[in-house]
Parts: sequence; C-alpha cells; structure tokens
Amino acid sequence: MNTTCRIKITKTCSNIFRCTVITLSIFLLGGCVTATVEEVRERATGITMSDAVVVLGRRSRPSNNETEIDFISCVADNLDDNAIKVLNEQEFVDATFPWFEPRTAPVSANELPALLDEPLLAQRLEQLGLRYVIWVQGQTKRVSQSGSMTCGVGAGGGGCFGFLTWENDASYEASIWDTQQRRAAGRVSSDAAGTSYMPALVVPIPIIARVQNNACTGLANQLEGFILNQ
Amino acid sequence: MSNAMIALYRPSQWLLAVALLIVGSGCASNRIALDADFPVPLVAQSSTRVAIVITPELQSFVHNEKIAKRGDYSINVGAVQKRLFNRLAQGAFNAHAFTDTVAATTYDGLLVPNIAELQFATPAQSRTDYYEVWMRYRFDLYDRDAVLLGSWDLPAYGKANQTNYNNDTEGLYAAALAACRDMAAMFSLNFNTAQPVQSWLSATADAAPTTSDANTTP
Repeated sequence: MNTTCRIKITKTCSNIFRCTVITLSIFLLGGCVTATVEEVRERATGITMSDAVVVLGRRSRPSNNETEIDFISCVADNLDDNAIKVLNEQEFVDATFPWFEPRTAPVSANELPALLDEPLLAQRLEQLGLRYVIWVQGQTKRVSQSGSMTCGVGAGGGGCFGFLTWENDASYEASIWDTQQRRAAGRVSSDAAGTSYMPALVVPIPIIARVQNNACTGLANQLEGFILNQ
Repeated sequence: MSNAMIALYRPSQWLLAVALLIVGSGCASNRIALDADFPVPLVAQSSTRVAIVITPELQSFVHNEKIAKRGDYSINVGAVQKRLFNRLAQGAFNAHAFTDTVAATTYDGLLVPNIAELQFATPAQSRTDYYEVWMRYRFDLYDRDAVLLGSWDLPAYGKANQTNYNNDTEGLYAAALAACRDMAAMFSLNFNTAQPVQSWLSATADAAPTTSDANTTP
C-alpha cells in the first residue's frame, strides 16, 4: 500500500514537473516583440473577385536595403485568402519581362502611367487581372548584441556555458499602386522590435523573438484591410 | 577501410578529422554552372531580319578565378547562352535564325554576341550584403556579306542578397542569373535606340534587296 502510494505520488509529481517545464518552455521560447502598423490612405480602394494583386520586393540597383525574399513570400501568403487573389512574384516578373527587372522597374508611382501605356504590357496586365501592385521595401536588422558563450567537447561529452542576447529591428513599408486609377493608393508601414536570449547551461536554450514574422503578419493584415477598404 | 574506421574510434583521430574538415571547407572549390530558362521579352518586335551567331566560344564561356583564403571559383555562364538568346530573339525580332559561324547570309545582317568580361564579388570581399556579378557583352554587327560594321557594348549587372542564400555557390548562381536577365532586359528595351545598332540598321536597310524572304536559311 505504501509502495503504491509512493509510486502514485512520484508519478503525479513527475507529471506536474513535466507540465510546468512544458508550459514554461512555451512561454519562454518566444521572446517579446513590440509591433506598430501605420497606414496612409490617399484614395479609396476596393477589389473584385476577378482582380489580383502582386507583392514585389524593391530590388533597384543602388538599394542597400533590399527586402528579404522570404518576407515577400510571407506577406503574399498571409494575404492569400478567398478575398484577395495574389499573383506569385517570380511568375509575375517573368510574365511581364523586362518591365519589372531591377534596372527597369518603375521607381515611383509617377512612372506608372507611362508604363501602363506600353500596349503589350497593358494587355498582359489585363490578362493577369492585375489591379494593385504592392511594393515592399525594408529589412530586418540586428541592432545590438551582447554576452558570450563557450562550448567545449571532450572525450566524456560536451556542453556550452554562457548567455547571449540580441535585439532585432524590422522596418518595412508597402506602397500600393492602383493600376486602374494609374496612381498611388496609399502606404502601409510595419515596424517591430524584439530581444532574443540564449542561456546555456550545458545545453543552449534559444528564446527567439519572431520579429520579422510579426512585422510580416502585421503588414499583411493591414494591407488586406487597406485593399478591401475596411 | 575497416582499419580507418577503427582508428576513428579514438577521440584524437576524431578531432583531427573534424579539424581537416574545417580547414578543407575554408578553401572549398565553388563551381557555379547556370542551368535555367528565361522569359520571352514583352516588347515590340524589330522588323530587322537577323541571323544570330552563337559561337562555340560563347557557349563554352567559363570564368575561373582563385581568391586567396577563399578558394577557387568557376562560373559557367556559357551553357545557358543559347537558351537565353533563343528566348530573347523570340520576343525581340520578327524573323531570326541561329547559326554558329560568321558567313554571308540572306538575312539583313549578322549579330554576334560575345562575353568580353565577367567579374564578381562576394560579401566577404566587398563588405556589403551582396553577391555581385558584372558582365560585359559585346555584340559585333555584320552586314549580310559578313563585313563588320560596328560593335555594341552592353554591360549587365546582377546582385543577390546574402540573407537569401546559404553559401557562395548559391549566392553567385543567383547573381549570375540576374546578370543574364539584366542583359536580356536592357537588350530588348534598347536595341532600336542604341547608336551602334542604329548605324547598323540603317546600313543594312540601305543594302537590303527589294524582295526578301523571312524564311530563308542564314
């Protein structure tokens, strides 16, 4: 009886301990992120079921602030639902070649009317059903880091000891161009910052702040509202 | 084989193997060979009937360079040139044909693309975030009798952000591909307005026979 009781207590303690560790891990493994999204509307927007949008990264030649390819895909994927048809970036750039290449793409909305006057391009855009071009620029950068970690491997095993911390800052802006109105419709910006930690006591435990992902979902949600005019 | 495996059970041998791997990877050879398709340019086609000469030199163009402490780099862009010019010509010219030698033709003129120069830079060299590839294409312009009338130099540039790629091979592949696309874009948009081409076009127009057959062989 005593033995059974002891076993039960041990099992319960073990479960509580396991649950606590898992719960703490879930809370701890995601670092804190603060995000801000802003919008500047220049004119009313709207979209029909046959209209499509494309999300493009700014890759003009002198830019030292090129947007990551996975961020563009993330924004496009997060926009892609039943309300908005999103064209794949690479397929769009290939279908409209050579008008949206790094050296030939329009830099400002003022260049849009002249571009849309190109008969073959206008015809292709109509085939694609393109209504809005969304230009994204910005980057996620590591703005500070501190701490140190030492790792060693020996015949008896290995391990790490130390503490690392770093802060990432994401700043993106999307310009929305209306191909029907032939002018800019507005801008949406998304900023996020967060600190990640990595304590190590034999095993390093990364506690990552998902800064870029937060900036992406924030931008995509705001863009969706902007385009649907909500 | 079995002796080597037994030897690696000793920790000191493992350390040596790991050290050799690290040293070896620091001086790795980077072989980049482009293999991609290209889009057809969406531009108004030139009415000039052109025979495009894809020389064996162009198709076998490989840039080799040794960088101290980084290893050997080999960038093969020649293998995709035929495909690149095939797509380019489909969009840029009303009538065209491909040949591999400079010889008299029934077409309005001969266009001979060459890669005069290729340079590249890695982020480690340039202290930027980018892999970069510069290429200088030279288009020799011949009349229908295979007489050289001029040349058109066309610089091409491609870059790739290192954050999107895992290593030098992937980054330089993307940058070289971007440079090839850049050439095709600038060619298709500037062909009719570039000064050497205009001179060539007017010379070929003056020499053109009154009746022409677009389907004749080059």
